[in-house]
Amino acid sequence: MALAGCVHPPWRAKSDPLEPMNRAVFAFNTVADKTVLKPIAKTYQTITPKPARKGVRNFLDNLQSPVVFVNDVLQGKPKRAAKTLARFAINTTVGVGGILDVAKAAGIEKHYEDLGQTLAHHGVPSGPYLVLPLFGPSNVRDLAGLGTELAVSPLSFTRFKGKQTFGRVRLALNTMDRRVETLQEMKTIRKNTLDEYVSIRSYYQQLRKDAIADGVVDMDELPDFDLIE
Amino acid sequence: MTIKRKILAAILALALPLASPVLASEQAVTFVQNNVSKVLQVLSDPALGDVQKGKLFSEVITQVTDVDVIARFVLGQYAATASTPEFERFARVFRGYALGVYQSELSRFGNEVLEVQSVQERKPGDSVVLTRISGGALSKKSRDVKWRVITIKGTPRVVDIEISGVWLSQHQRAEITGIITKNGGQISAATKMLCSQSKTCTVTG
Repeated sequence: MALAGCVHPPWRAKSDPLEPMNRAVFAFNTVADKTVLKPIAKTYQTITPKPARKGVRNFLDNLQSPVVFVNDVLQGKPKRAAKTLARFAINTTVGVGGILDVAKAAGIEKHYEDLGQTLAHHGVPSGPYLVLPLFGPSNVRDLAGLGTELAVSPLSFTRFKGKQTFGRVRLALNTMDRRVETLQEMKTIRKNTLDEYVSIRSYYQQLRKDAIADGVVDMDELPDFDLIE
Repeated sequence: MTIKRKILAAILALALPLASPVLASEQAVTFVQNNVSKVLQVLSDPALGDVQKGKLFSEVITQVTDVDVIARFVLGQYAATASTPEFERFARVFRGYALGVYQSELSRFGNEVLEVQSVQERKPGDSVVLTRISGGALSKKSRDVKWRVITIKGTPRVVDIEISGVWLSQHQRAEITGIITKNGGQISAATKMLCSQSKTCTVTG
């Protein structure tokens, strides 16, 4: 009996040894999404004009810029770090605290980096796939990255009145806005999927790989079509 | 004369291995330029009704891709153990499913201009063509789409498409092999599940 937990059932994906637990969390997240998050996101989308939502997105992205900058530096990408710094400086000042993306209009495109990507850049393996309650798909490396980012975030070391409220509003807006962005994508996924859990896992793993490689295709990583693997 | 011939032979010996991959890549680029635009035109033609569009899309995409090769790929490790009738049943059902997915994924484009940005060769007869699709419904935005082109029996064919960071055939393989492994290696389980998604499908044998 004690050994039963150590046996790796043949039907589980190698990258997902915790599949039964993940599926349970996924089922919980799906219910939470359908009953709470999606209706709220749809209401937010209906009552908030598109330019206002764009302003919110710009503001939130600008707040995240210092994190992106640190990760650009940690990955040894000075050009990207300079772009992030320039974007932050321009948007915080000329862009009214980041509400307007003036830097983009000036030709400085935004990009994302996080500590999970930085760890991957330095060769840390992803570890098992995880589904986090309410946060959704992740893996051990990305969870460690997220936890560290939250712990060392400048917000953790600053003191100001209404800090807790600010943190909560930021989290709520971020979650809602991200959900609005994925409304159409999720509809397409649910329409075409054979198994929503596997589908989301596959999307997450491919998208993370793409983000880590900054969109550059690693030709050696592409699977063969003519050979049976 | 002999020295000239030797020099010429040496130049050719150096140049030929370099020249053939370039030609294969160029073939992939031309193939994408000529055929993918046709697919986008069909999807954005306002004169076509849904049924007619679906039929025409199926015809055009059949010329662009090789669904049998993709069907074998999405079976992953199970392709090796599939009997011929088992594979044929799966491939028949998979064709309908794959066409639906391609149509749904590519329908987000319409009236756009497709521009080849670059081509990268993985090995002779296996290239990735990077395109930028802009204009039309995308308005000021543009989207990068990558096309994996493989030469099959002397003809280039698209076997995978990457849209917004996701390779469709690789994604389908994750789903299909997930279903088969969960059902003790039974390919018929995937065939039945694909069939249940289609209104017109029946699995026999």
